[in-house]
Amino acid sequence: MNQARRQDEELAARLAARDALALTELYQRHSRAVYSLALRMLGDREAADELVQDVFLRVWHHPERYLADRGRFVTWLLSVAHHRAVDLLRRRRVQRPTADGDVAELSADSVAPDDAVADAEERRAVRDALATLPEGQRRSLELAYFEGLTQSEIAARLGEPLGTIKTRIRLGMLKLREQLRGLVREYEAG
Amino acid sequence: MNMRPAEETCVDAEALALDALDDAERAAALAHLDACDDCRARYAAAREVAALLARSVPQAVPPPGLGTRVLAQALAAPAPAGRSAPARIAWSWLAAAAVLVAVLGWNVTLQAQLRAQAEQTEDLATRLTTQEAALRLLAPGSGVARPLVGSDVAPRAQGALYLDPQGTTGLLVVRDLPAPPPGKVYQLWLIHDGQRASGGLFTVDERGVAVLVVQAPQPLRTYQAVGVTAEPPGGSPGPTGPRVIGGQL
Repeated sequence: MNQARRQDEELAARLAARDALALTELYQRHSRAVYSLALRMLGDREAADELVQDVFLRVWHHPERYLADRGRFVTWLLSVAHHRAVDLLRRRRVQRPTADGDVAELSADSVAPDDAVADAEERRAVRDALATLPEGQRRSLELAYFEGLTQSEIAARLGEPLGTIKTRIRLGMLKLREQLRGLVREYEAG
Repeated sequence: MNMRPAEETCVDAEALALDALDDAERAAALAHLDACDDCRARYAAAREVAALLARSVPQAVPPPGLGTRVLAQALAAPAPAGRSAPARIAWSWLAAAAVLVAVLGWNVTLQAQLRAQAEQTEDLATRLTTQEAALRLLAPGSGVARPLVGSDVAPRAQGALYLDPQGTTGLLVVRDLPAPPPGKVYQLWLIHDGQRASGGLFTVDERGVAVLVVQAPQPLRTYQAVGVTAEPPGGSPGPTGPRVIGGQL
Protein backbone atom coordinates (compact mmCIF):
# COMPACT_ATOMS: atom_id res chain seq x y z
CA MET A 1 0.00 0.00 0.00
CA ASN A 2 1.45 3.36 -0.93
CA GLN A 3 1.95 6.16 1.52
CA ALA A 4 -0.89 8.38 0.27
CA ARG A 5 -3.42 5.59 0.56
CA ARG A 6 -2.16 4.59 3.99
CA GLN A 7 -2.40 8.17 5.20
CA ASP A 8 -5.94 8.50 3.85
CA GLU A 9 -6.99 5.33 5.61
CA GLU A 10 -5.47 6.48 8.87
CA LEU A 11 -7.29 9.79 8.57
CA ALA A 12 -10.55 8.05 7.72
CA ALA A 13 -10.17 5.89 10.82
CA ARG A 14 -9.61 9.02 12.90
CA LEU A 15 -12.87 10.46 11.58
CA ALA A 16 -14.70 7.60 13.23
CA ALA A 17 -13.18 8.79 16.51
CA ARG A 18 -14.63 12.27 15.81
CA ASP A 19 -11.22 13.82 15.19
CA ALA A 20 -11.92 17.15 13.52
CA LEU A 21 -8.31 17.66 12.60
CA ALA A 22 -8.50 14.51 10.47
CA LEU A 23 -11.34 16.13 8.58
CA THR A 24 -9.21 19.21 7.94
CA GLU A 25 -6.40 17.05 6.62
CA LEU A 26 -8.70 15.10 4.33
CA TYR A 27 -10.17 18.38 3.13
CA GLN A 28 -6.71 19.69 2.46
CA ARG A 29 -5.77 16.58 0.50
CA HIS A 30 -8.89 16.12 -1.57
CA SER A 31 -11.07 19.22 -1.66
CA ARG A 32 -9.51 20.43 -4.89
CA ALA A 33 -10.37 17.20 -6.71
CA VAL A 34 -13.94 17.25 -5.37
CA TYR A 35 -14.41 20.93 -6.16
CA SER A 36 -12.96 20.57 -9.65
CA LEU A 37 -15.25 17.67 -10.47
CA ALA A 38 -18.27 19.52 -9.09
CA LEU A 39 -17.41 22.65 -11.05
CA ARG A 40 -16.95 20.66 -14.26
CA MET A 41 -20.29 18.91 -13.83
CA LEU A 42 -22.44 21.67 -12.36
CA GLY A 43 -20.89 24.63 -14.13
CA ASP A 44 -21.26 27.19 -11.38
CA ARG A 45 -19.21 27.95 -8.34
CA GLU A 46 -22.04 28.33 -5.87
CA ALA A 47 -23.35 24.86 -6.61
CA ALA A 48 -19.80 23.46 -6.49
CA ASP A 49 -19.24 25.10 -3.09
CA GLU A 50 -22.41 23.55 -1.75
CA LEU A 51 -21.52 20.15 -3.11
CA VAL A 52 -18.08 20.23 -1.48
CA GLN A 53 -19.65 21.12 1.84
CA ASP A 54 -22.24 18.42 1.46
CA VAL A 55 -19.69 15.74 0.59
CA PHE A 56 -17.31 16.51 3.43
CA LEU A 57 -20.19 16.73 5.91
CA ARG A 58 -21.31 13.29 4.77
CA VAL A 59 -17.79 12.02 5.28
CA TRP A 60 -17.75 13.55 8.75
CA HIS A 61 -21.12 12.17 9.81
CA HIS A 62 -20.83 8.76 8.17
CA PRO A 63 -17.18 7.69 8.06
CA GLU A 64 -18.30 4.08 8.47
CA ARG A 65 -19.60 4.11 4.89
CA TYR A 66 -16.04 4.02 3.61
CA LEU A 67 -14.90 0.40 3.47
CA ALA A 68 -11.16 0.25 3.11
CA ASP A 69 -11.23 -3.29 1.72
CA ARG A 70 -13.29 -2.12 -1.25
CA GLY A 71 -10.91 0.49 -2.60
CA ARG A 72 -9.07 3.70 -1.99
CA PHE A 73 -10.55 6.46 0.11
CA VAL A 74 -10.21 9.02 -2.66
CA THR A 75 -12.03 6.75 -5.11
CA TRP A 76 -14.90 6.42 -2.65
CA LEU A 77 -14.90 10.16 -1.94
CA LEU A 78 -15.05 11.04 -5.63
CA SER A 79 -17.82 8.51 -6.17
CA VAL A 80 -19.83 10.15 -3.37
CA ALA A 81 -19.22 13.56 -4.94
CA HIS A 82 -20.12 12.30 -8.40
CA HIS A 83 -23.31 10.68 -7.22
CA ARG A 84 -24.39 13.89 -5.48
CA ALA A 85 -23.60 15.94 -8.59
CA VAL A 86 -25.61 13.54 -10.76
CA ASP A 87 -28.55 13.88 -8.35
CA LEU A 88 -28.40 17.65 -8.72
CA LEU A 89 -28.13 17.51 -12.50
CA ARG A 90 -31.11 15.18 -12.75
CA ARG A 91 -33.17 17.42 -10.47
CA ARG A 92 -32.20 20.42 -12.59
CA ARG A 93 -33.33 18.63 -15.72
CA VAL A 94 -36.71 17.96 -14.14
CA GLN A 95 -37.02 21.60 -13.12
CA ARG A 96 -35.45 23.11 -16.24
CA PRO A 97 -35.67 20.60 -19.08
CA THR A 98 -34.26 23.08 -21.61
CA ALA A 99 -31.03 23.41 -19.65
CA ASP A 100 -30.02 19.92 -20.69
CA GLY A 101 -26.29 19.73 -21.12
CA ASP A 102 -25.86 23.41 -20.42
CA VAL A 103 -22.55 23.39 -18.58
CA ALA A 104 -20.57 26.60 -18.35
CA GLU A 105 -16.95 26.73 -19.38
CA LEU A 106 -14.45 27.37 -16.62
CA SER A 107 -12.84 30.75 -16.63
CA ALA A 108 -9.08 30.85 -16.63
CA ASP A 109 -8.84 32.27 -13.13
CA SER A 110 -10.47 29.21 -11.66
CA VAL A 111 -7.74 26.87 -12.80
CA ALA A 112 -5.22 25.95 -10.17
CA PRO A 113 -1.91 27.66 -10.94
CA ASP A 114 0.29 25.21 -9.09
CA ASP A 115 -1.00 22.02 -10.58
CA ALA A 116 1.44 19.21 -9.85
CA VAL A 117 3.24 17.89 -12.90
CA ALA A 118 2.38 14.29 -12.09
CA ASP A 119 -1.30 15.16 -11.80
CA ALA A 120 -1.21 17.06 -15.08
CA GLU A 121 0.40 14.07 -16.77
CA GLU A 122 -2.25 11.78 -15.34
CA ARG A 123 -4.98 14.06 -16.69
CA ARG A 124 -3.35 14.12 -20.09
CA ALA A 125 -3.13 10.33 -20.11
CA VAL A 126 -6.83 10.01 -19.34
CA ARG A 127 -7.78 12.55 -21.99
CA ASP A 128 -5.55 10.82 -24.52
CA ALA A 129 -7.15 7.50 -23.68
CA LEU A 130 -10.62 8.99 -24.08
CA ALA A 131 -9.60 10.45 -27.43
CA THR A 132 -8.66 7.02 -28.75
CA LEU A 133 -12.14 5.59 -28.13
CA PRO A 134 -14.57 5.38 -31.03
CA GLU A 135 -16.68 8.55 -31.10
CA GLY A 136 -19.86 6.77 -30.01
CA GLN A 137 -18.20 5.20 -26.97
CA ARG A 138 -16.47 8.41 -25.94
CA ARG A 139 -19.62 10.47 -26.30
CA SER A 140 -21.70 7.94 -24.36
CA LEU A 141 -19.17 7.88 -21.51
CA GLU A 142 -19.00 11.67 -21.36
CA LEU A 143 -22.78 12.07 -21.39
CA ALA A 144 -23.03 9.52 -18.61
CA TYR A 145 -20.21 10.67 -16.40
CA PHE A 146 -20.07 14.43 -16.84
CA GLU A 147 -23.67 15.22 -17.68
CA GLY A 148 -25.28 12.64 -15.43
CA LEU A 149 -27.50 11.01 -18.06
CA THR A 150 -28.78 7.49 -17.57
CA GLN A 151 -28.19 4.97 -20.29
CA SER A 152 -31.84 5.35 -21.36
CA GLU A 153 -31.47 9.12 -21.55
CA ILE A 154 -28.31 8.78 -23.60
CA ALA A 155 -30.12 6.46 -25.99
CA ALA A 156 -32.90 9.03 -26.37
CA ARG A 157 -30.46 11.90 -26.76
CA LEU A 158 -28.42 10.15 -29.43
CA GLY A 159 -31.33 8.38 -31.09
CA GLU A 160 -29.70 4.98 -30.63
CA PRO A 161 -31.10 1.72 -29.21
CA LEU A 162 -30.59 1.27 -25.47
CA GLY A 163 -28.67 -1.95 -26.05
CA THR A 164 -26.21 -0.09 -28.25
CA ILE A 165 -25.58 2.48 -25.52
CA LYS A 166 -25.10 -0.20 -22.87
CA THR A 167 -22.56 -1.95 -25.05
CA ARG A 168 -20.75 1.28 -25.82
CA ILE A 169 -20.48 2.16 -22.17
CA ARG A 170 -19.29 -1.26 -21.13
CA LEU A 171 -16.75 -1.53 -23.93
CA GLY A 172 -15.65 2.06 -23.48
CA MET A 173 -14.96 1.55 -19.80
CA LEU A 174 -13.13 -1.72 -20.42
CA LYS A 175 -11.00 -0.08 -23.09
CA LEU A 176 -10.21 2.82 -20.84
CA ARG A 177 -9.22 0.41 -18.13
CA GLU A 178 -7.00 -1.43 -20.55
CA GLN A 179 -5.38 1.75 -21.82
CA LEU A 180 -4.92 3.17 -18.35
CA ARG A 181 -4.00 -0.09 -16.72
CA GLY A 182 -0.76 1.36 -15.41
CA LEU A 183 -2.66 3.97 -13.45
CA VAL A 184 -5.45 1.62 -12.42
CA ARG A 185 -3.02 -1.05 -11.26
CA GLU A 186 -1.07 1.53 -9.37
CA TYR A 187 -4.26 2.46 -7.54
CA GLU A 188 -5.45 -1.08 -7.09
CA ALA A 189 -2.08 -2.01 -5.64
CA GLY A 190 -1.62 1.33 -3.95
CA MET B 1 -6.72 -7.78 -17.85
CA ASN B 2 -9.44 -10.37 -17.50
CA MET B 3 -12.25 -8.99 -19.69
CA ARG B 4 -15.54 -10.78 -19.46
CA PRO B 5 -17.80 -10.91 -22.47
CA ALA B 6 -20.81 -8.65 -22.10
CA GLU B 7 -23.30 -11.51 -22.13
CA GLU B 8 -21.76 -13.06 -19.02
CA THR B 9 -22.14 -9.99 -16.85
CA CYS B 10 -24.61 -10.03 -14.00
CA VAL B 11 -25.07 -6.27 -13.58
CA ASP B 12 -24.01 -3.17 -15.48
CA ALA B 13 -21.04 -2.68 -13.18
CA GLU B 14 -19.49 -0.11 -15.51
CA ALA B 15 -22.72 1.88 -15.84
CA LEU B 16 -23.17 1.67 -12.09
CA ALA B 17 -19.70 3.11 -11.55
CA LEU B 18 -20.57 5.98 -13.89
CA ASP B 19 -23.90 6.61 -12.10
CA ALA B 20 -25.59 5.96 -15.43
CA LEU B 21 -28.41 3.84 -13.99
CA ASP B 22 -31.76 5.17 -12.87
CA ASP B 23 -32.72 4.84 -9.22
CA ALA B 24 -34.46 1.47 -9.55
CA GLU B 25 -31.66 -0.05 -11.64
CA ARG B 26 -29.08 1.28 -9.23
CA ALA B 27 -30.83 -0.15 -6.17
CA ALA B 28 -31.09 -3.54 -7.82
CA ALA B 29 -27.45 -3.47 -8.91
CA LEU B 30 -26.20 -2.51 -5.45
CA ALA B 31 -28.26 -5.29 -3.89
CA HIS B 32 -26.74 -7.73 -6.35
CA LEU B 33 -23.21 -6.62 -5.51
CA ASP B 34 -23.63 -7.73 -1.93
CA ALA B 35 -24.17 -11.28 -3.13
CA CYS B 36 -21.76 -11.48 -6.06
CA ASP B 37 -18.01 -11.36 -5.54
CA ASP B 38 -17.37 -11.25 -9.26
CA CYS B 39 -19.57 -8.23 -9.90
CA ARG B 40 -18.18 -6.53 -6.83
CA ALA B 41 -14.67 -6.88 -8.23
CA ARG B 42 -15.79 -5.54 -11.62
CA TYR B 43 -17.51 -2.64 -9.95
CA ALA B 44 -14.41 -1.83 -7.88
CA ALA B 45 -12.28 -1.83 -11.01
CA ALA B 46 -14.79 0.35 -12.88
CA ARG B 47 -14.89 2.79 -9.99
CA GLU B 48 -11.14 3.25 -10.27
CA VAL B 49 -11.57 4.13 -13.94
CA ALA B 50 -14.40 6.51 -13.03
CA ALA B 51 -12.12 8.14 -10.45
CA LEU B 52 -9.56 8.71 -13.19
CA LEU B 53 -12.25 10.45 -15.23
CA ALA B 54 -13.01 12.60 -12.18
CA ARG B 55 -9.37 13.52 -11.85
CA SER B 56 -9.02 14.33 -15.54
CA VAL B 57 -11.01 17.59 -15.34
CA PRO B 58 -9.29 21.00 -15.19
CA GLN B 59 -8.26 21.60 -11.62
CA ALA B 60 -9.80 24.54 -9.81
CA VAL B 61 -9.04 25.94 -6.37
CA PRO B 62 -11.87 25.90 -3.83
CA PRO B 63 -12.63 29.41 -2.58
CA PRO B 64 -10.87 30.57 0.58
CA GLY B 65 -13.04 30.04 3.62
CA LEU B 66 -14.94 27.08 2.19
CA GLY B 67 -13.06 24.63 4.37
CA THR B 68 -13.66 26.76 7.41
CA ARG B 69 -17.38 26.67 6.70
CA VAL B 70 -17.27 22.90 6.24
CA LEU B 71 -15.71 22.50 9.65
CA ALA B 72 -17.94 25.00 11.35
CA GLN B 73 -20.96 23.13 10.02
CA ALA B 74 -19.50 19.72 10.78
CA LEU B 75 -18.88 20.50 14.39
CA ALA B 76 -21.92 22.68 14.93
CA ALA B 77 -24.31 19.99 13.71
CA PRO B 78 -25.61 17.40 16.14
CA ALA B 79 -24.07 13.96 15.87
CA PRO B 80 -26.18 11.43 13.95
CA ALA B 81 -28.58 9.36 16.02
CA GLY B 82 -26.85 6.68 18.01
CA ARG B 83 -23.55 8.50 18.11
CA SER B 84 -22.33 10.99 20.60
CA ALA B 85 -19.65 13.56 20.08
CA PRO B 86 -17.11 13.70 22.87
CA ALA B 87 -17.11 16.91 24.83
CA ARG B 88 -13.46 17.43 23.99
CA ILE B 89 -14.35 18.92 20.63
CA ALA B 90 -15.89 21.97 22.26
CA TRP B 91 -13.19 24.14 20.79
CA SER B 92 -11.76 21.81 18.26
CA TRP B 93 -13.66 23.25 15.33
CA LEU B 94 -11.87 26.45 16.00
CA ALA B 95 -8.58 24.65 15.96
CA ALA B 96 -9.60 22.81 12.85
CA ALA B 97 -10.70 25.97 11.13
CA ALA B 98 -7.44 27.58 12.05
CA VAL B 99 -5.47 24.69 10.65
CA LEU B 100 -7.46 24.85 7.49
CA VAL B 101 -7.09 28.54 7.02
CA ALA B 102 -3.45 28.17 7.80
CA VAL B 103 -2.80 25.33 5.46
CA LEU B 104 -4.96 26.47 2.59
CA GLY B 105 -4.39 30.15 2.98
CA TRP B 106 -0.82 30.27 4.07
CA ASN B 107 0.73 27.32 2.38
CA VAL B 108 -0.99 27.83 -0.94
CA THR B 109 -1.33 31.57 -1.13
CA LEU B 110 1.79 32.47 0.74
CA GLN B 111 3.98 29.99 -1.04
CA ALA B 112 2.59 31.17 -4.37
CA GLN B 113 3.51 34.68 -3.32
CA LEU B 114 6.94 33.47 -2.35
CA ARG B 115 7.47 32.19 -5.86
CA ALA B 116 5.97 35.21 -7.57
CA GLN B 117 7.54 37.94 -5.53
CA ALA B 118 11.16 37.07 -5.09
CA GLU B 119 12.04 40.48 -3.72
CA GLN B 120 9.78 39.88 -0.75
CA THR B 121 11.01 36.38 -0.06
CA GLU B 122 12.77 37.11 3.17
CA ASP B 123 9.80 38.94 4.68
CA LEU B 124 7.31 36.30 3.59
CA ALA B 125 9.53 33.48 4.77
CA THR B 126 9.64 35.10 8.18
CA ARG B 127 5.86 35.33 8.20
CA LEU B 128 5.54 31.72 7.13
CA THR B 129 7.85 30.63 9.92
CA THR B 130 5.78 32.60 12.42
CA GLN B 131 2.55 31.11 11.11
CA GLU B 132 3.93 27.60 11.22
CA ALA B 133 4.95 28.22 14.81
CA ALA B 134 1.38 29.29 15.51
CA LEU B 135 0.07 26.15 13.82
CA ARG B 136 2.17 23.95 16.03
CA LEU B 137 0.22 25.30 19.00
CA LEU B 138 -2.74 23.31 17.76
CA ALA B 139 -0.99 19.96 17.85
CA PRO B 140 -2.11 17.66 20.65
CA GLY B 141 0.00 18.24 23.74
CA SER B 142 1.28 21.60 22.56
CA GLY B 143 0.10 24.98 23.61
CA VAL B 144 -2.99 25.74 25.62
CA ALA B 145 -6.34 27.16 24.60
CA ARG B 146 -7.87 30.03 26.54
CA PRO B 147 -11.58 30.51 25.80
CA LEU B 148 -12.83 33.95 24.87
CA VAL B 149 -16.38 35.10 25.47
CA GLY B 150 -18.43 37.75 23.68
CA SER B 151 -19.45 40.83 25.63
CA ASP B 152 -22.89 42.42 25.66
CA VAL B 153 -21.93 44.05 22.37
CA ALA B 154 -21.49 40.64 20.73
CA PRO B 155 -23.18 38.10 22.99
CA ARG B 156 -23.04 35.22 20.49
CA ALA B 157 -19.34 35.59 19.78
CA GLN B 158 -17.01 32.83 20.90
CA GLY B 159 -13.34 32.27 20.45
CA ALA B 160 -10.08 30.93 21.74
CA LEU B 161 -6.51 32.04 21.99
CA TYR B 162 -4.02 29.24 21.43
CA LEU B 163 -0.66 29.97 22.97
CA ASP B 164 2.54 28.64 24.39
CA PRO B 165 2.84 30.58 27.64
CA GLN B 166 6.62 30.69 27.30
CA GLY B 167 6.53 31.96 23.73
CA THR B 168 5.43 35.14 22.03
CA THR B 169 3.35 33.56 19.25
CA GLY B 170 -0.33 32.79 19.59
CA LEU B 171 -3.31 32.06 17.40
CA LEU B 172 -6.59 33.87 17.86
CA VAL B 173 -9.72 32.21 16.48
CA VAL B 174 -13.22 33.65 16.78
CA ARG B 175 -16.63 32.83 15.41
CA ASP B 176 -20.04 34.52 15.39
CA LEU B 177 -18.40 37.90 15.80
CA PRO B 178 -20.37 40.62 13.97
CA ALA B 179 -18.53 42.61 11.33
CA PRO B 180 -16.90 45.74 12.77
CA PRO B 181 -18.74 49.02 12.16
CA PRO B 182 -18.10 50.57 8.73
CA GLY B 183 -14.64 52.05 8.51
CA LYS B 184 -13.37 50.08 11.50
CA VAL B 185 -11.29 46.96 12.07
CA TYR B 186 -10.90 44.81 15.14
CA GLN B 187 -7.80 45.15 17.29
CA LEU B 188 -6.61 42.58 19.81
CA TRP B 189 -5.24 43.92 23.09
CA LEU B 190 -2.85 42.06 25.35
CA ILE B 191 -3.36 43.25 28.91
CA HIS B 192 -0.58 43.36 31.51
CA ASP B 193 -1.15 45.17 34.83
CA GLY B 194 -3.72 47.44 33.21
CA GLN B 195 -1.41 48.29 30.29
CA ARG B 196 -2.56 47.29 26.82
CA ALA B 197 -0.30 46.26 23.96
CA SER B 198 -1.62 45.65 20.47
CA GLY B 199 -1.76 41.99 19.45
CA GLY B 200 -2.77 42.72 15.85
CA LEU B 201 -5.62 43.81 13.60
CA PHE B 202 -8.23 41.64 11.92
CA THR B 203 -11.67 41.53 10.46
CA VAL B 204 -14.18 38.70 10.10
CA ASP B 205 -15.66 36.88 7.14
CA GLU B 206 -19.35 36.92 6.29
CA ARG B 207 -19.97 34.25 8.89
CA GLY B 208 -18.14 36.01 11.68
CA VAL B 209 -15.07 33.80 11.56
CA ALA B 210 -11.53 35.15 11.91
CA VAL B 211 -8.08 33.73 12.49
CA LEU B 212 -5.17 35.92 13.54
CA VAL B 213 -1.56 35.04 14.21
CA VAL B 214 -0.57 36.99 17.30
CA GLN B 215 2.97 38.24 17.79
CA ALA B 216 3.25 39.53 21.33
CA PRO B 217 5.97 41.99 22.36
CA GLN B 218 6.67 39.89 25.47
CA PRO B 219 6.17 36.22 26.40
CA LEU B 220 2.46 35.52 26.61
CA ARG B 221 2.76 34.28 30.20
CA THR B 222 3.26 37.90 31.23
CA TYR B 223 -0.24 38.92 30.15
CA GLN B 224 -3.27 38.39 32.33
CA ALA B 225 -6.05 38.92 29.80
CA VAL B 226 -6.94 39.82 26.23
CA GLY B 227 -9.70 41.91 24.72
CA VAL B 228 -10.89 42.97 21.28
CA THR B 229 -12.26 46.38 20.30
CA ALA B 230 -13.26 48.06 17.04
CA GLU B 231 -10.70 50.66 16.00
CA PRO B 232 -9.88 52.81 12.97
CA PRO B 233 -7.93 51.16 10.11
CA GLY B 234 -4.29 50.90 11.14
CA GLY B 235 -5.27 50.47 14.76
CA SER B 236 -5.05 52.71 17.81
CA PRO B 237 -2.40 53.16 20.50
CA GLY B 238 -5.05 52.11 23.01
CA PRO B 239 -8.65 50.90 22.93
CA THR B 240 -11.21 53.55 22.05
CA GLY B 241 -14.37 51.45 21.90
CA PRO B 242 -16.14 48.85 24.03
CA ARG B 243 -14.76 45.32 24.26
CA VAL B 244 -16.54 42.91 21.95
CA ILE B 245 -14.87 39.69 23.06
CA GLY B 246 -12.17 38.81 25.55
CA GLY B 247 -10.96 36.43 28.20
CA GLN B 248 -8.47 35.66 30.91
CA LEU B 249 -5.12 34.10 30.14
